[in-house]
Amino acid sequence: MQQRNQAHSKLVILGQASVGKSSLVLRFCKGQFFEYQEPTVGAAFLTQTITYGDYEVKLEIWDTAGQERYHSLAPMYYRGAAAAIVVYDITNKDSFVKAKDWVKELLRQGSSNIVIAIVGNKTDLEESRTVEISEVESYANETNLLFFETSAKSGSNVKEVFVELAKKLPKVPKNQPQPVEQTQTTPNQPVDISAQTDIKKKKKGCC
Amino acid sequence: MSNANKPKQTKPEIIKDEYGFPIHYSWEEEQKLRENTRKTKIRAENQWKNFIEKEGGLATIIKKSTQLKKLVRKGIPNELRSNVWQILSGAKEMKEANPNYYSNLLNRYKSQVSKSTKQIDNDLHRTFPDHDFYRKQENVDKLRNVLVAYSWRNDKIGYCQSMNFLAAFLLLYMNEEEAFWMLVSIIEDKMPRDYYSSDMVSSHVDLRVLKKLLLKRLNKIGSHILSTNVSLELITQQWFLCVFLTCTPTETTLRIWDAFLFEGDKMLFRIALALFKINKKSLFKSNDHATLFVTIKKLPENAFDPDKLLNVAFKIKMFSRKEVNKLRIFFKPFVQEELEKLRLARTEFRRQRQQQKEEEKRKSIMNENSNENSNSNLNSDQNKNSNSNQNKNQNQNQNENENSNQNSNSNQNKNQNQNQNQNENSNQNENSNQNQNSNQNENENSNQNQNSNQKPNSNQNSNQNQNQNLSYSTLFANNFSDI
Repeated sequence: MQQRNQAHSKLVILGQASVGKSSLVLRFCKGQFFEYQEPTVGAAFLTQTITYGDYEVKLEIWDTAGQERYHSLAPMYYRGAAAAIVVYDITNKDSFVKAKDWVKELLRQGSSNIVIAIVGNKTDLEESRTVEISEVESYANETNLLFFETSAKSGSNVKEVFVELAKKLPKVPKNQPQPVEQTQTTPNQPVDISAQTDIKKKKKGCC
Repeated sequence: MSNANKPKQTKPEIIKDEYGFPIHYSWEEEQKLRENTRKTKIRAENQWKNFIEKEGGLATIIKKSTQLKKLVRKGIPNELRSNVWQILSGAKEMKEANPNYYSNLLNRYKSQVSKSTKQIDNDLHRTFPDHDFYRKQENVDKLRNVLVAYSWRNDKIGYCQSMNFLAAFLLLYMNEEEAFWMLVSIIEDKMPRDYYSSDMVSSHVDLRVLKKLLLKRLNKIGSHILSTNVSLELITQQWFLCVFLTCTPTETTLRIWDAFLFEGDKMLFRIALALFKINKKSLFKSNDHATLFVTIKKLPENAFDPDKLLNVAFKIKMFSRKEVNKLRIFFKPFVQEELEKLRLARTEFRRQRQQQKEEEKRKSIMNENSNENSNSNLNSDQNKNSNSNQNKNQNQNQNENENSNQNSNSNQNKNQNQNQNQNENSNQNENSNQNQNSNQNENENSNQNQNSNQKPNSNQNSNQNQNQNLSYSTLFANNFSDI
């Protein structure tokens, strides 16, 4: 697997401090969850291969520090990113406002074809919800974003976020080390595969 | 689908080192580390014992003696660390010169809430969560006190993630007040100014300095690393801000801290360079930015031999504070300019989004009013009120660019409410608006701090215009060619 020359796609995770960015990544990549996840200083980096149908996508996942003062390094994170997951906490309205700021910045300054998912995390705390699904849904529609609600704690919907994003990224057919059609595709240019799949404009609500 | 996606519900069994920290390496490696350091630790303990006897007690040790420097480089015996650290850092002196300062600070701001205290509360249980010490609430409370007290002492810094690790580590060795003064000494004396402040200017500067030193001192490996365009800053920032806490095995971290508290921030560069030097082979084997990132991230984790690391670090010749400071002075204006551009660009995004919202809001009000015209007699009054409120909001928002998004959402909701609920609700809405604005003062303050740290190049309006054409690819470029 490692030796295969795959298309690498850079995916960045952005969002306010303690909304669960690292926890989402950890749940997705390692199937783990820690109630008390240490704050990220700088950035963490993981790779994960997603296989669907006859294709696979190799993701370079960049998990970033959430505290505002660390955001001056953000252009470094999202430089060349093919996809972004912007996370907010469904129990924290401010974090949704901050998420919208990130979307704006990514659309303005990120790669031109960047695919963005807005993700409301912590659905396990449904009773404390302050950000309504309908509000985010209409925002996601307006802005043409994928929308999911997840719980890194329970694992609910986490995989789906990454998979749906991956489906919109450059892919290589399984068992073919270097397909001809991939040679001219740089990792930073997302490929529209909506013709082959039914995910175009698909919006996911709560699990 | 990848196998890694199957959820594993159970947490892996935690193996801990002799200091109570979970280890991210094998038990065999932990044994190797203890074996590596056993002899030197015993030798150092004897030398310290003799030294203290000769000096006539710990209290009288003279900070600047070369003999002490040599001893510190060999490692401070663990049972002496608390005392020696406080003496070496100057924390002890500060504490004695300011009796009751710490307790007064805590009392004065008791139960007051700020942006910093909120973030501190979020991070308390996320700081060394697997260390037994922090399983006790009373110790978590101590950590809170130290961090909160510091945030009130220095509002230019407030609280920066990474300070939680520093304070929590110190509390393993000393009481609250002592840990507080140690934190003061590290942040305000050992580290350059504005390392942890809201724009972290000096931290960014040091990351550039390190890259430059890497090229200068370890040219081959430095050129190899930088040629891959790996985002080195995203790794080294943690090394420096946390003084290698959570990066290196604890035994190694302690040795780094010993030397750092005696010799200051220069040590950070020595250790970083030594890590690159020792691991030359594995670094050369990593040829792309992703592999290299993972390799570099793991360098401190694998520093199982503190003696080797420190020996290599101290052998870097002719490494003077003057050289580091010269580079810092060189890079600072570049960093400041870039941070300012970024800040203004973000302010501009928010302003534009706010404008867009206002526009949409205006349209929707117009539509709703025209629909309702035929059905209600109250319409003219209602219209007047909602418009006046809207204007008011607009004025406020112009002054609060940073908070504008928050306002825009809430204002939009409020205006919708107003339309539905008619006149009697409008006063109430105004009040709630005011409350909300007062809650946002913290944000404004932090922005003001940012401004005061930097010298704006020209007036804000002209900068904002320039920013529309700003290319981020130029941000954080290396300025090495000029030096």
